Amino acid sequence: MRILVVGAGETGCHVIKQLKKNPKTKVITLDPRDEPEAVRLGIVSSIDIKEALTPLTLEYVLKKTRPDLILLTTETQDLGIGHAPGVSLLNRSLREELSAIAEVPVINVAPAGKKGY
Amino acid sequence: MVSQLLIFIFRLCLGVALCLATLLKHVFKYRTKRKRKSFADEVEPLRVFLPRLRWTFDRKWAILIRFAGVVIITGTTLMLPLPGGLTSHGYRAIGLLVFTASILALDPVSLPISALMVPLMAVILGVGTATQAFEPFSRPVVFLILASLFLAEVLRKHGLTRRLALASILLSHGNVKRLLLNLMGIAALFSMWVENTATAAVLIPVALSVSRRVSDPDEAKSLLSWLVLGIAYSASLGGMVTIMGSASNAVASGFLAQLRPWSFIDWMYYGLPAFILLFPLTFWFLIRFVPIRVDRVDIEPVKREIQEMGSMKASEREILVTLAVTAFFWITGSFLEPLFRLPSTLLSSAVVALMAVAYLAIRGLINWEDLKGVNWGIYLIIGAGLTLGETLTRNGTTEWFAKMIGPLITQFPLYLSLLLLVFMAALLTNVLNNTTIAAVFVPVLISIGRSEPSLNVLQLVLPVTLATTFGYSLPSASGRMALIAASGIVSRGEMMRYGFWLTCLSAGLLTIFFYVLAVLNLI
Repeated sequence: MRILVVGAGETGCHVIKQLKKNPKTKVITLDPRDEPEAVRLGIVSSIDIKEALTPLTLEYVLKKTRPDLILLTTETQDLGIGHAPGVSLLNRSLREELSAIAEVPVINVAPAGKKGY
Repeated sequence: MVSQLLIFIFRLCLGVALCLATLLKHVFKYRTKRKRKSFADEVEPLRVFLPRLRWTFDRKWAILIRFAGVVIITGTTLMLPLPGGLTSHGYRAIGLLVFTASILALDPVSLPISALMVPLMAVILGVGTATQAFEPFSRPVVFLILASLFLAEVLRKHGLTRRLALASILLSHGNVKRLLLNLMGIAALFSMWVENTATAAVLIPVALSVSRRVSDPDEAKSLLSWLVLGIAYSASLGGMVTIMGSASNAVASGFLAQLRPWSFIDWMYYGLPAFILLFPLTFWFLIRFVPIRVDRVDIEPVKREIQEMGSMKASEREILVTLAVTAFFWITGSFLEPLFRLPSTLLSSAVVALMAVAYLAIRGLINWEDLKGVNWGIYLIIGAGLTLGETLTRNGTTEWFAKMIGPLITQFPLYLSLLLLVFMAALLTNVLNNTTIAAVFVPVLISIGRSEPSLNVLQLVLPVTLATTFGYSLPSASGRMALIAASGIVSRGEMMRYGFWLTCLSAGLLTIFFYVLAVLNLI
């Protein structure tokens, strides 16, 4: 099973670690930043797709990665666009929009102990 | 008096120049370059939300240096000679104003935490006790804004904002001008009742989805910029209509309510006609001056999505009915209360809004987990704005400002005074937080209005407060502009170019509107 993990920040690290326990799972990572947490902590050696997932890049990313499942783990700080008012809500809305329009199953992964999606 | 006025103007210019320094920070926020490699045969998609390049400079040092800047600016102001006619307490209150303006402009820490430092500084400077400094945070208007954020969250959680946005896209039949008009209409309609940055944040992803139907990246970019600017401008304009539409309205209403009976409908009486005039102007400006390379978009996927969503659920209908009933009581509350001899303020805006939130919570349509996620920072920002205004008034600084600025306003014909005030507020709002502008200028204008029999307080307060809506030119102007700048959808050059001209046009029309109202004795 090919799983695309979107976001390699704090939540993404937990998700990748858990998925790696099953060697049959092919984990593909996506993050727009140069050195996200998963790389810095050595959980993955590098990010597979350096891209920001938006409705505009969705089709391109799907063609490139052909995942069976997408796990959205992007937290607000993982966007790397600062802390302008509303960025957090924009991130949530963006995740919901991606879930609605994607033609493959998308699961929003909530950070542990934080607001559920 | 003239020399004092010159000193005041010099200090104002200095303050604005310091705020403009924040622009430099934006200049240095480079973005990563587009990667154009692999998949040679494929058209690369349009890319937005590209992360900023990380500062090589240590973030901790950056925060410390910015905070040191705030302290130096405030300290320097306080060390200047005491201006004539101002007490030492009054001058320290000016220190608080400079501290607020510089900390909000240089943002060493996030905006809500900066706001929290305002009452703290008021106590440190000895211009208020802890009770006086924190009292404004419990004003009804603060809870009205908070409740409107909760209502925005209900709409988002149940997908109502998105559903209505998709329906508006469908109604456009793919014509991009109608699409823009409909999305602008939805953005304005929602931001009348719920916080406007929250409205824009929910609608921007919908604009992204629409733009993905355009295959050519350049055409998609032009369509996306167009739609996103339309959403941001109309979300700001929608906020003019009601007290909870924007933080500056809330702050101005807070001061007006201390002066005279001031209800929700009183604000709408002036805000709604102003919106009705400015909304078509903004739409015309976008279709006339912002280039768009697409005529039509494919709306078939939207049709499919709406079909997949199915008809409106009972819970969604209940939310809409609750909001309609809430709006009804907001508008008629001030009439119904005396008519049915209801307890005083039972149907005031804040109480009605909190009743709606309580009802939705009891019905299980919203819970604490949802409310935890809203932008609570706005609560602190409005509270800080009110604290600043109160402190300036209590320490005689407002009176001093009124004596300085008063002649400029009262000696000129009304249309010139209005033009001056509206343009000043509209331009300042691009560099200063609009809550701060309202907190400083509203008490000053109230003081001028009360001392000059030929002027009405509302003739001065409302145009200035509504003009703070026109923060279109810079990311620092408003949450909406900060959001679209951060997303990288609209370049800073485009934002400044279109924003400046639209600000000038809108400010001109707003001046004419209030001048006509004054001439016809309608204000």
